[in-house]
Amino acid sequence: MLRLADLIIRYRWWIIASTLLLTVILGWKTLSVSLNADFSTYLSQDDPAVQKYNRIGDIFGGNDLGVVLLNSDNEVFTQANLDLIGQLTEAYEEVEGISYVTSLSNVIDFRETEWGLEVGRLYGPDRVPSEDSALNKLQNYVLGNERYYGNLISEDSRTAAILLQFEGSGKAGSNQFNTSLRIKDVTNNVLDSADLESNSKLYFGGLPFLVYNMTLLISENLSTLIPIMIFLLVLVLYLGFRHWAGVVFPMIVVSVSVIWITGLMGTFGLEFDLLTGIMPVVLLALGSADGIHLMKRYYELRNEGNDSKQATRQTFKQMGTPIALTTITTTVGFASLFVSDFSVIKQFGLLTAVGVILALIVTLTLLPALLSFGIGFKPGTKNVKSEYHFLDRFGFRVYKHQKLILAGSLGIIVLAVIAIPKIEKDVDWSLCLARGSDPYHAEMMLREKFEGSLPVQVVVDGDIKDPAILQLMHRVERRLETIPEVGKPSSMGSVMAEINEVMNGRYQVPEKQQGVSNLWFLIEGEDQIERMVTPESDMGLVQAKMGTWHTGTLVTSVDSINRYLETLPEHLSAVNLHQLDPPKRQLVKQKQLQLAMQELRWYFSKEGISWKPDFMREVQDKLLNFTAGRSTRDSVLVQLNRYLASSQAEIVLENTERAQVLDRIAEDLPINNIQVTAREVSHMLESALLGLPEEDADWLAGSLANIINTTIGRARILPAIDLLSSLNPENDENFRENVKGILWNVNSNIAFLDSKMANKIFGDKHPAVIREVPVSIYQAGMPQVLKGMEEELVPTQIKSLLTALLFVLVLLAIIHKSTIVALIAIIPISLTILINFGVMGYLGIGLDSFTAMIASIAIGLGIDTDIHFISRYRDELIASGDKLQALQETIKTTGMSILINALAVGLGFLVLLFAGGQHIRRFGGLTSLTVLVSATLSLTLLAVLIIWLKPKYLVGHSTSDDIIETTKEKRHETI
Amino acid sequence: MKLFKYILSLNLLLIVFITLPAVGQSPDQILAKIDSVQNAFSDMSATEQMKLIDEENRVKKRVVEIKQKGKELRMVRFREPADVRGVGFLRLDSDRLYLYLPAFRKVRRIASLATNENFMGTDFTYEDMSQSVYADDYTARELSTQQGQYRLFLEPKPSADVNYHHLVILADTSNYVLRKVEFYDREEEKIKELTIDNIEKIDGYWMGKTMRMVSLDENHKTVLELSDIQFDQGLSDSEFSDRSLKRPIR
Repeated sequence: MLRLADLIIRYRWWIIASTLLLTVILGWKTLSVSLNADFSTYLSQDDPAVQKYNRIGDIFGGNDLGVVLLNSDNEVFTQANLDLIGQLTEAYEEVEGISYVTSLSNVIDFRETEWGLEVGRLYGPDRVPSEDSALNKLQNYVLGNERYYGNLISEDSRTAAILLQFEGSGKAGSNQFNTSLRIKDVTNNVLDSADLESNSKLYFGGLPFLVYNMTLLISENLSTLIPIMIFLLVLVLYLGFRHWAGVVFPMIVVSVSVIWITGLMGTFGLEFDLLTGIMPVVLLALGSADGIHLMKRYYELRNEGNDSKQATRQTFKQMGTPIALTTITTTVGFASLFVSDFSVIKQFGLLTAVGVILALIVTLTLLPALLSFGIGFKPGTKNVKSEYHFLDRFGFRVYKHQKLILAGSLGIIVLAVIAIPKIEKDVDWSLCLARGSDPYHAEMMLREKFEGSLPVQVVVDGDIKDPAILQLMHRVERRLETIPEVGKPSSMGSVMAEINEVMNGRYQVPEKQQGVSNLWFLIEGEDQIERMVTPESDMGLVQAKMGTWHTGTLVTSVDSINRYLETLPEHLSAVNLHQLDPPKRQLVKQKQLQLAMQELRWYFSKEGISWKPDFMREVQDKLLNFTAGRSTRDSVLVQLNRYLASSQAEIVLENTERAQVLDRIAEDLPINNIQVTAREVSHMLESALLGLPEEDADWLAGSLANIINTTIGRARILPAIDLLSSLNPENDENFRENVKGILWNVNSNIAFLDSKMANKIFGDKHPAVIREVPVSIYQAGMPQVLKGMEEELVPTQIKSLLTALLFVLVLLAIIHKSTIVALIAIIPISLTILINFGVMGYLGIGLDSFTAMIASIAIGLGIDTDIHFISRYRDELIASGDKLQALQETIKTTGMSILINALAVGLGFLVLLFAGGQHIRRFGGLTSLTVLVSATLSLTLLAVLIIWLKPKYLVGHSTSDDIIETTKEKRHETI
Repeated sequence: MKLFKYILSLNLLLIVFITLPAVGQSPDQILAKIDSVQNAFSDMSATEQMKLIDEENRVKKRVVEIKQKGKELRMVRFREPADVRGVGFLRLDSDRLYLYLPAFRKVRRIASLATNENFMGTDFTYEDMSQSVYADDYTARELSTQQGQYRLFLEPKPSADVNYHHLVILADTSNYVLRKVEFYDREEEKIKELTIDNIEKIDGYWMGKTMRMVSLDENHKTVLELSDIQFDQGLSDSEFSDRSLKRPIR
């Protein structure tokens, strides 16, 4: 060590110059470090759930949802507001990084008007209604459509949402932070020319804006709070050392190491994120500690009369090893964060670890080089130790009250252990935002009025144009609605049902492939469809919104979804009921009915309508044992007659021919629960009208079969709808439409059954099974990713802590050649961590990925003080041979450094309590507490343990020749 | 000599008319001629192959049968792909548009508000598909002639229910055949471009057999190729009814 110190002193100008040069170069590189607020990049890219999430994002043009809310004190439905929504929508569509925009002005709408079928927009850019009546009509229509309210407009119609799909991180140039910035700029541009009503205001919410705002908040916090932290550090350093060099030199070391690590980030293309943004603060705290210890020792040696070079050599020699040791242990503490699932935490851990090593290099090179000049400090002979009488008294009390300290520590352990189970695991992420701020308000509005903004994504692999899969997707939507905190599901299933309702009057996926193809054709090429299904139609999404950022609730909901998805079949069999014998047909009908009743139950649950089993059995019986009575049959004939007389009828029939046809059909009209086929009707027509070409009969038969089946189907389910409607006091149109859509499946001639069930009923290769449809359904959205991380949080935390503690333990045992010393050193750290968790439990602070990090920081910071304390105590004990004296001397010297450091760092972190976001406040508060507790325990519990356990290492029987020699040399020099 | 002078002056006159055909014609007159060339036949039927090409050059193919009678009556029916065979579109006049979906055996009227929506995934809107007489909805102005083509700026008439701010059309000066239409939205930005190529004179009528509509924003295009073109077959009005719309495609 001495040789190294000599080298440093000899080449001090070279060291200063090269440090300066390196600092200038890396300082220049810091300019290229940008800010990253793209949450998807915060995740561990090796995680299969994250890979799945990214893949789905790439396929469907991104999976992060940002929402711009137009909130009005009155109603959103004014010409100015609707016009503004239209203008913003058009402007956002052009923003780089945004793949899709959906709002009231561009959402695809299907409806029946007095002018006919309309597949279009609610209102076009140049068709904004101006008259009150038109606005009211639009408002009523929008609020009556489940796809719009809660998605694009709140039910109180005071808030409208513009949904922005952010491109995934996989796409080049899709930095979500920059995209968010562009959205804000574009909004301002639009507002320059458009009118924002005085009682209206725009808010920005959803994950991309949440992270954007959190990052901004942290940057703002740090830009105001770091100077205060530095001021406090400077103040404490000055009060501790009473000399400018004691302030400037440690600050130089810290500043140089912060510049170096930031410069290295720039060199390797790394970005600041919401966590590495805190890294400079942490380095400020960690880096200054070694400097303080070094300076303290240097002052002692100078005061003992050494000249600057001699003092520097000895400081380096005596402190070099402990400082290197503390750096290694601190590095281990932070490097243990590498096991985290969050790539930001990994990056934070790794960068801080490297930063600490850089700080060590600077401390051991630049600081001795600077100190060797002896600038501004005159050697004296006063003993600095004698100044701190209160520390003498403190040391004495610690020595006298060993049992009390041990008992107190045990008490604290008990209290902490009691509190640990109380640690809240249901953490609300939106608390990252400052309460009462606009972003916070936006998140609350999204939760309360729009059922959240975190997209739930269920991926469906299979032929999405197959009605079997579309019906299954629609069922999944219904099931999702019953899961707490999950709302507003959508997929091609409900889109097909909605168009079918407009086309055929029933909110249900058509049972035939041709029906689906025809309806699909109406919306072919629409942007909004591309977000739900791939161009090849081999993969589709069922999307919903998670209305919570509470991690615990989120995990529960994600688990519920997964449990349901696991019950879904991997193959569906499309079964044609016409090809079954009556008993099997009845069996399949029962299965169809069971599925419908299950779906109905989910719908009732969502609507908050109680399910009455007896009542439902009555409904089931009515449906299963339906027989078309006289009035139904009459109704069918009236409908057929009307059609045959219309211009739409495929062939023109005379009155007598019509009567013949109707008579013939009346004879064979089905009365049971099976639909008639076009072929059967064609035969009826041919037998009624002899000589009718087969081609014409077939042509007409399709339409007639359609009318017969629709009329009888309606008659079958209408009594059930009426019965069920009596359970719903509101009995609105939406309720009846939903119930009708669900029940209509029991009319279907094609049943979609789980292939396993179908095989059990029919055996292999039954002709009634017209096709097998493979399907695979799984969850892939952000909630699934967050769930994985939350579940891994505690095991990862334990793994990370144990790894760090074990490593530190082994390292200390090897270095000190004493297991007992190593154990003693980590006991105060373990207790500090316990106290940290205990405080979290008592104060109701949640354990999340960020608060979990504090334990690793505690190891990094705490082990420093322990090593310095033990090293010094050993020196003092060997020197004096008296435990009390050794303790008092240690407390007065190293103890003082520990106190200065703890106060400087602790007060610095305490400043973060004034930060905007709750997360950063908690981080600041808990880190501050950890630092102060760690220092206190080092000066009390550690001292007691050393005295109490009397490790041989400390009394000179150790074979650590280097340290013994150091001590001898020191004594000699002192003499 | 007199005869020579007469022939000379006649030739000069012809040269003037040929080289400066716009002289003496107002933009509206030229537009009327373009319309009349477009609608010169009394009826027409053809098979049309559609290619829908997206930004990643994925191609979807469709085959449709088209029929037209006079300026108003039009019918388009899909033959391929098989799952949409029979889907049809009928125009009786600008306000009466009908759609037939064979899966449900239903003819449904399409609201005129929906006319600015794309037709079945193509780059043509319902309005584009039904536009036959430009002079009905637009006033022509700003005539210029370049490279043997008239260039007309078409501005919607105040009464016209159209979805474009204006159109710019180009037609051959020699035969008034439409060669290009540029569509401008209300921000006066060009959003689509239709080019008509492969011009042939069939049974005495000029016809562009290839049409290419490009949506500039989406980088999506639709290419239409006409074949089996037949004119003046004496199609009756009843061929353009909801009943005939439902007729199975043989």
